[in-house]
Amino acid sequence: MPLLRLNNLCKSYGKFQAVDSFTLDLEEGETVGLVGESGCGKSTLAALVMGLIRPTSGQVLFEGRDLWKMTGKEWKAYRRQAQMVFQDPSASLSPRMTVGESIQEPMRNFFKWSKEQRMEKAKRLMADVGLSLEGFNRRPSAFSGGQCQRVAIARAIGVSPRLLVLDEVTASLDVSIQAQILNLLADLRKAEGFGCLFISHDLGAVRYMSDRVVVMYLGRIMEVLPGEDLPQNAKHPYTQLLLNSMSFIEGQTAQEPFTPKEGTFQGCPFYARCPYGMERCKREIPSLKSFTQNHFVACFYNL
Amino acid sequence: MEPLLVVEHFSVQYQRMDRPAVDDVSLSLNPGQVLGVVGESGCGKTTLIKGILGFFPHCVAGVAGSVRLEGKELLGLPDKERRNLLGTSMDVIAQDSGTSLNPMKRIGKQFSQILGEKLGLSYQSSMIYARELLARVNCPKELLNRFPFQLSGGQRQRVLIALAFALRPKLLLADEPTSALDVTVQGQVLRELELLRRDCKSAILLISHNLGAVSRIADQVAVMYQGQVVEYGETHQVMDTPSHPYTKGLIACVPSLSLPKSQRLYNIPQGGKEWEGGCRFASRCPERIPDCQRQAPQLRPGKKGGLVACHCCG
Repeated sequence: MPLLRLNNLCKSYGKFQAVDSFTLDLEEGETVGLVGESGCGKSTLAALVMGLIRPTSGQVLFEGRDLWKMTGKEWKAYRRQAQMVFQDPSASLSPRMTVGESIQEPMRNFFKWSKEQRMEKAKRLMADVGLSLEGFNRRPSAFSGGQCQRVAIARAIGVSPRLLVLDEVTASLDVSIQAQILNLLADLRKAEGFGCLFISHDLGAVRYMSDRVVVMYLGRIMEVLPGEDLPQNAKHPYTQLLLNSMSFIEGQTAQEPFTPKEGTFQGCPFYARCPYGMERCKREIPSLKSFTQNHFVACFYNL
Repeated sequence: MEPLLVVEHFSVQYQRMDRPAVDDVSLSLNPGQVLGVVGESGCGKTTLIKGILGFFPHCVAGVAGSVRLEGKELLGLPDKERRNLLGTSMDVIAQDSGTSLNPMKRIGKQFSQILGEKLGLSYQSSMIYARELLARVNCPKELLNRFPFQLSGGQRQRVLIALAFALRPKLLLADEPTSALDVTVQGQVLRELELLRRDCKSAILLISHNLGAVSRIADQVAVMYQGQVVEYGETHQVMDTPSHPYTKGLIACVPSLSLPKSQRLYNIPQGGKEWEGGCRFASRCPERIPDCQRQAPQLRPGKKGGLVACHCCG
């Protein structure tokens, strides 16, 4: 049984489909990267996985149990086992708590530990995420963005979660700090063995972190492929567009600007921006088809 | 002939800071050239741009050096004269363009106001011109009737670039213009900046924390660390054969797609104690020698061309 299963998950706000027919399995200890532009529904998906919003239809199953049919006890256990780290670390930590208190807070909620036990664990966690103990009694305002992100990570892994949802954790950081946080997460994952949903718009970071990469566009999955295949073997035109944009920015290739088609279409969500769009794409929504054993593509052009 | 922009020994000191935010920086920029300035947050990139524009907040304790645009000294220029230069001689695009547009006015109104004041156009003709300008940066003309908050980040950035197209500034200061945008939009914005350079012959000072992002359009790159320029040279030379250990670190720590999957990302070592003298990067430098902590290295020609401030690799 997979650790997390998303089964035909949909979330709509009025007429707008934020997440549409999303199906995905995440195994114990696996890292799945989720990549897409802003507004594609990445953060909505994170909120659905954490049980913060109720899906319009479909299920989120944790070890086979539906999040929204859990008993109170199961729900509380889930809240411990699934933890989340947010994009803006200075906004996700309470400015009125010291860093030490912040790290201890989840433990106080879920474990019946003595104060000494909690303090000891919190200090060990701070060392694990590479922070000096001098900061234990300081407030987040005394820390830089990268350090706050380390505190948020320590807080999340303190209750031994089995699933960690990371929503754009490196987006607001300098490149040199990004590298430190990515390495830290890779080390912790090896040591603690939690599964990871790594959400980012940075293809390089996603490939570095993930066993599998899911490419999302307007709420739907466009392509699922192994992380190491991302640069060379991506098949979907949208994934290729993202890759081309990246090498364009880095000055490696020239790129022809493509003018989007005007109007609204019933079919493939990417049709308006797709350089290979065919008649069929206008009318029908392509479903996710297996390309090789662990590579799936939702595109008529590539079949 | 003197270059378009000359910055010489420019320093800005904030109150209650132990070192200047911008420390003895010298740069020059020719017409139509693009200079990329790269460095971490807090290295003084934004203070440098504000200094060139002459925007000094009250907490500035002292300014030294010289900033000349077309031979005219900008430091100490009366506000009224500086105001005349803004827009047509120099223009700025900020990272969060939402804050540079007036939130209470529709885009069309802002266009007509600026075009009216700077180019003397009537309301009608400025609206016709504005439609043309928006088409040039791939934006629908309906944007003119919207408020800034109704636009996406990429659209707001392009509205500012469209204004720059109209005013044809000799110098465009772009402070992290693509950092807050998606990769696909980043590419478009960079392409439009390239067009601006080609069609209006504008020189661009492009600031970013990501070396990769400036390498597309910059002719030259300056790498800043803690207020000082540590490496300065042609883009391809700095990108392909960096000399300064800090530049090497900045390039190596980006999770590039061409990196082998199993390879760990390079981490620039953490600094130890406070800076006490000598090279500012010494406490984090993997190549340091005893000299580094005693004496500050000067910016001088390096072995691979360009300028480098380092004792070990000069």
